[in-house]
Amino acid sequence: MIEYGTKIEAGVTPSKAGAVVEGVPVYNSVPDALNEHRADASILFVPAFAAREAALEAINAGIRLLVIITERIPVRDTMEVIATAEKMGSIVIGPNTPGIITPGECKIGMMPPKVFTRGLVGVISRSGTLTYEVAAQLSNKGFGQSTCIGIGGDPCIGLDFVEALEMFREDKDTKAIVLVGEIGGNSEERAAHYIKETSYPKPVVAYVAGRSAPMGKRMGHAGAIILGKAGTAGNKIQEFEMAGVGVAKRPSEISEMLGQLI
Amino acid sequence: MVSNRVLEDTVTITVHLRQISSKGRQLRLKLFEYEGKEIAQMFGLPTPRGAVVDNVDAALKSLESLSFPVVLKAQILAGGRKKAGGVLFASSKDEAETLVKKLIGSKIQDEPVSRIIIEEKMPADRELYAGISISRERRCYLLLISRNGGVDIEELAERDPGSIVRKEIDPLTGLGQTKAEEIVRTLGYSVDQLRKLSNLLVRLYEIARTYDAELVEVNPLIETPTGQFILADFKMIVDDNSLFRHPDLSKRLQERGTEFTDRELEAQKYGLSYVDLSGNIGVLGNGAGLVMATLDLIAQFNGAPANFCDLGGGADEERVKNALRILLGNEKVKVVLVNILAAFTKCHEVARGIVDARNRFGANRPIVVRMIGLFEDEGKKILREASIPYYDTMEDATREAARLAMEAAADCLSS
Repeated sequence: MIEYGTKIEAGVTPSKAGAVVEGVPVYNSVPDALNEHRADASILFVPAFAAREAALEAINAGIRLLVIITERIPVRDTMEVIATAEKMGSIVIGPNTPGIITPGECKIGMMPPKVFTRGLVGVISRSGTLTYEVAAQLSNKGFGQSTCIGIGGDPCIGLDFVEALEMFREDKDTKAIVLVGEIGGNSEERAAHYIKETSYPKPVVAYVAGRSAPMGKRMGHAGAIILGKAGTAGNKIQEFEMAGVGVAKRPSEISEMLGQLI
Repeated sequence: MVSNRVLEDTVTITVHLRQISSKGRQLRLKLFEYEGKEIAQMFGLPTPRGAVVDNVDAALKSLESLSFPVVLKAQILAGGRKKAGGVLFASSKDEAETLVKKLIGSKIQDEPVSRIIIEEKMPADRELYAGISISRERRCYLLLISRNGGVDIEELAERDPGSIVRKEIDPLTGLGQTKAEEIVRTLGYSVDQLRKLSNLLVRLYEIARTYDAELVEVNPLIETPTGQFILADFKMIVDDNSLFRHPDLSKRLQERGTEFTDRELEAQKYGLSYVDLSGNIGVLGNGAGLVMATLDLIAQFNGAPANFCDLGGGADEERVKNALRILLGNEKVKVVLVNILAAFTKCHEVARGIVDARNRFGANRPIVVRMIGLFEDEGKKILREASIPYYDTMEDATREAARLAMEAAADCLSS
């Protein structure tokens, strides 16, 4: 992240105060770090069993943007963290996310920088490596990215498609949006309704992974499971199409579809 | 409840793992009805008088202290138990004996029945539905309650959605007696029943929180003619991510998980996310979304995936080798497709794992690789030296794999 240009002010690891890593001073807690430094955001790599505590500490200390990389956090903990964030006016990205990146400017996350180039397309994705795949293909075809947000693969997440779309709506650097979804839950369906109901002013192209996934089997991500009738790729694709959002059949088709829209 | 098992100070609940996915210890835990009822009792919730038994003698003995009619319920994890004949009624000792012999040792929904609950059938004025689940969308617990329970909740939701009261529970403030009473009042209950039912719901919520449950479901919740509420059934699914903080749940892996194939069970031991499918193209990749996208692409090229397998991040040679060994253990697999977009995973390590596995377990089945990213040149060199084809795009790799699979299928037919 430092190499990329992100301004890392401090690190926090309980009991490691005083250490210096890659030129960054380490403190025992977020409040301690914020006594000496100013920070707008925080990124959390803490193991799952400690994530809740670390996240609550950050939010309560005044961190307004929290990116949670950690996966396998108990859902009860995630719910508590997100509810607290909402109360405090903080934004949580994740958990189980590779992070967020504005190519050429700043990266809060662990995505490989090479596949991202600066451009006009906003990307919002539930996946990890599939996000890189999509970004790589977009970059290859000349569709650089304004900002790419990994919203995470867990069933309960902070910033979701709708909230991210809302932010991209006002973002002057973004002219079109790509949504990368997958089976499980109804966040894509809600995004489709939002796009339709608010006559979303920018073109959106979607890709949904898992058309061939069977019911009842979790495909890797905790959030990627079709239970009963809910959460099939087919349903999401249908909702998108009804909202006027083109859905690519494969990642490589996304650029083609964008080309026709912008 | 008269129980055949000795309850110690720390109740040891045997958790039978119903594994839906296999990423290391990431499992979805469903408790047996009798285990759930034990927890319910600990929380002061009323269940019918009865016993858990695993043999006919114990069953007959337990009948001595129960009044007829009784319900006999197969203790299995699969759903649809009633329709499959796993819930039977008996009005006499002889009838009960016949049915016990029929149930214990039988298979319901393909699951062997080693235990049954024998309990008194409760007279019911009404059968309600009460559950605590989680709303992904709202990121909070949901209380669900209906006066028209006793049937499948999804069926009810479709048929008569208005009859299910849904209430969000703030994860920070929880469900207290006051809030519960507000909800129960809307169902038409007052005074004594209002208080009782509300209190019951509060305790259900407490159970859900305490055990990190994704779902707690009582269906039916019986309302007796005298206005009592009794938990006739109890279903609980626990968040597998929370296991680290539930030492009281002792794990016993089922030798043969009814929901899982042998390969799926084995994959778990290696921390692999693996699901068996029915085709002939074995699939391996790094990243669940990427693998799902690969499966979709295979279908578009008229191929059929044999499995889903996510290596996870930073996979090394050993992990790749084990994944391929398991994958190749499936005789249906005629071709293997590996899709690697290496951010932190190292291509040369993956390549070594692939070559090793091909040499040891390959059995003349072609492996097609898509490989880009960290150390890709080194990785490609290793594959080249082993004559394993590689591509830069997943489309090219998939197209080739599908083509080879069709060839192999044609060969089979002609030979």
